[in-house]
Amino acid sequence: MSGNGDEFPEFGDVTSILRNGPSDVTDETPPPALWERIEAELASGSPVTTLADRRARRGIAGPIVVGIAAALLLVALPLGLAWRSSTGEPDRTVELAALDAFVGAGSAELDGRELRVETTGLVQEEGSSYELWLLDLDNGELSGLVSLGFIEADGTYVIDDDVDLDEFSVVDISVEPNDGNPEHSGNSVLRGELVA
Amino acid sequence: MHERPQPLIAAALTVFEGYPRTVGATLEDRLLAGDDTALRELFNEFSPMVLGLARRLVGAEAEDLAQQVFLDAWRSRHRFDPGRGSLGAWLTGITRFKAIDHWRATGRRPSIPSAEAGVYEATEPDVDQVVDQLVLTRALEQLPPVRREVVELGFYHDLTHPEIAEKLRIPLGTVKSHMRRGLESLNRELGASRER
Repeated sequence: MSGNGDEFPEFGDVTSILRNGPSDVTDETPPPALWERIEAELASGSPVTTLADRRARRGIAGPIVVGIAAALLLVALPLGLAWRSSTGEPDRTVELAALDAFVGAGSAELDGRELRVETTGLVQEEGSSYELWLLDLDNGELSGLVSLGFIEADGTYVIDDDVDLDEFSVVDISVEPNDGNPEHSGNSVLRGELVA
Repeated sequence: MHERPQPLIAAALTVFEGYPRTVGATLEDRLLAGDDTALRELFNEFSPMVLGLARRLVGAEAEDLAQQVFLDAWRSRHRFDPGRGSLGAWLTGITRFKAIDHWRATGRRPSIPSAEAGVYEATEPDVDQVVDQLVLTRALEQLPPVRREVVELGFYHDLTHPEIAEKLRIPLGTVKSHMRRGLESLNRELGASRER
């Protein structure tokens, strides 16, 4: 007996699994239909997914996106002014009011394609997060929504260029269970409409 | 909108608007940034492994399970933490828990045991053992060659550390450090595949 593993009690699970030898599970090439089914299921899901998560949500993604953004700034800086003025976005503000039984208040200010959001009175509960959305409401009917990411301390959110702010003009903050489901939970806490 | 930009400006805008999918970001980065091309790439790279594993774990239901795994991976992509393990270990972990859920839902044994169940047995395998073994086999393949050989000689061929040192013509101390670091890497991957 070699006694291998006895010297590494902290890796007990690893060493006992290794003693069973290599896995005999073999790869299996999927039929093309498998990807098609995945695509179809995603397409039938929420309209949120394409724009959701543009902002990094947490963990290591933050520095990566900041790094990319910083690198881009170098390229974009000399062009930035022309680009910004050409969008012609009017600056708008909104007061966010609490819905239903929720408490809290807030405000948001649009500057170009950046939305600065401040909130007060939102209670951070374990297992849930607050997420910022832009809603397209036609006479109170929801016809589209995009996620701008989870509410974070810095409070500034970038809106994608393909989002028309005349349509997606309602700022909404929802409470979302931390369950990995990117769709709107349906529980809106604060809401208000952007006005010039 | 604005006038058709000059080529240089167009390039800068393209980079800006699509930033998660440009700038040579890794698959991990793009997945975390919500770039939907990352899912296709994830599928291309890992679906043979996931489908092969699913085949072993749930037999004829393998394709349904693999579909669920990739949809779940996409929807919970913000939970992937590159600091805790590889994408492969994360995906095998998702497959593990989907298979456990599958057997929990269908019951431990088929209601009518049949010899004609087909090529695949319709009885519950030891899901954890199958997944653990595959995770470690794949993790071993990712180790630097000498480190991999040290671990394989020690555990698959049951050689002692002095025997390994002699066979590979490296100092005993080097064998021990390769062994420890190798086991650390495997332990990390195993841990990542066990996180729900």
